[in-house]
Amino acid sequence: MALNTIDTSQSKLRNTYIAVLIPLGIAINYVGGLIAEVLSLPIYLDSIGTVIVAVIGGPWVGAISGVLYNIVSSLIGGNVLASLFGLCNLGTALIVGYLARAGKFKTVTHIVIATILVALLNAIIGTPIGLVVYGGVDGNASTNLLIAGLQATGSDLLSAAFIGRLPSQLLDKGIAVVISWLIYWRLPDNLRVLNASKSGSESAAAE
Amino acid sequence: MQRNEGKTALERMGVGPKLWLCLGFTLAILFVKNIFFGIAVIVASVFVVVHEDKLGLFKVILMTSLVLFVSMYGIYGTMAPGLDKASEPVWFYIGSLPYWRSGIDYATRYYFNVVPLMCALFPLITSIDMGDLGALLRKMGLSQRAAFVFIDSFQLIAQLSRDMQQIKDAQMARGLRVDGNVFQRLKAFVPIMVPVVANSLIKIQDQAVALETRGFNAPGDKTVYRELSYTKTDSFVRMASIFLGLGAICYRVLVVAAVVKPLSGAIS
Repeated sequence: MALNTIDTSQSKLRNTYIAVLIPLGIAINYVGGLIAEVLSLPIYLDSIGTVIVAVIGGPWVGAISGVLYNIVSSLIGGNVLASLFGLCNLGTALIVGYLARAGKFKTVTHIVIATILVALLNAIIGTPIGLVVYGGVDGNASTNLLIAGLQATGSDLLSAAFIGRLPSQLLDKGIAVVISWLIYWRLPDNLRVLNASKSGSESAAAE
Repeated sequence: MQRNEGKTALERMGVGPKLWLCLGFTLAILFVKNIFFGIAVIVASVFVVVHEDKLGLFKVILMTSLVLFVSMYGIYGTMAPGLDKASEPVWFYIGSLPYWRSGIDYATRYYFNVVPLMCALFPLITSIDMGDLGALLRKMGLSQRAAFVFIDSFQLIAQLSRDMQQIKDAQMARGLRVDGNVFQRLKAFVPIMVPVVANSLIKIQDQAVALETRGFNAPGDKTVYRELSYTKTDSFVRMASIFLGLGAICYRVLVVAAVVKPLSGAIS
């Protein structure tokens, strides 16, 4: 029996796939961030794994993967306070996972809506966390320059931190969502049914 | 049974005492809030990193610390969040940029929360053996599935990092440019990342089937092929860490209750 015909939606094998997907999402997030660092990019690119796992395995599987990524990366980097940013990944996974489960992860319009929602949520949640951990700035130099510029025009720190994060979040989450979308629709059917609702599994089977 | 035979004292230290040390240092740095203590932790950590021959990996921490220093002191010092600038004189100028004392204090408050923590935890975390950590998590009562997920993530990070390097080299050999302006570097991200992700998703099918054939979902307790043994030094380190953490909490409570004065170098 070929691997791509094995039905992964059934209980025990599904649980095994999920147990393997979660660490994979963590590793993809980490490597995304590593590539962004190697290429000296002004964005993080450390949520691709969260989005892919949420789309494949479901919103809560993606959420576990996202939160664990922030815990693991904060342990590796030593900044345990940064694990609070796991709440951003939690929100990302829930939005994208439920959109995918509802069949709203197919067209370009869906991708644009997902990107905007995820970027807004990350800016809303990330701003107060950034205030607690770093006092308002970010670990990203270009975002910090934007925050400084906005403060120089008279904005208070909270508004400057929120607005300063929006452009980088739109770009960052946009790339994550687009890459995940491109890869998801090229996966074999037996992997795509992991996050299917009853209607989703019928349409995935029909494709 | 496998035992961990490390080459250095830090590698030979048990995983339990290392985690207690991490907790002790975290509580001490967050609750003592003292600039001299923070500097002492940073210096001691650099000494340990050099002794453990991990300076190459530690460069990432140093770069992050530098970026945070420039960002925090550069922005907060001159923006001075929450300060009524008319009421306080400028402390010094860098070029034409004014810097206020309260802005520098604001930056110090956050900088010395983050950087000493990064420096202290780095040698401890990077010297933890994943097999020992898995055995400890199982001993603490975590389910076999949860322990597997946690440990596998570290192993996959190492594996995907190697894959990423190979794919990057292969794409560069095919003419991919990883330098240039931001847009060129952003374009270079996709041909590196997509093969890494796609290959890893294909491999998980093999991994899932391999786990199933090895009884991953089989009922009953799973055994662990790793023996955890602790020396007297490990017990001393554990007690010292508990003392450090509890001492830090007690110090902070006494300072807040105005029973004792903060030590010299206290961060407001």
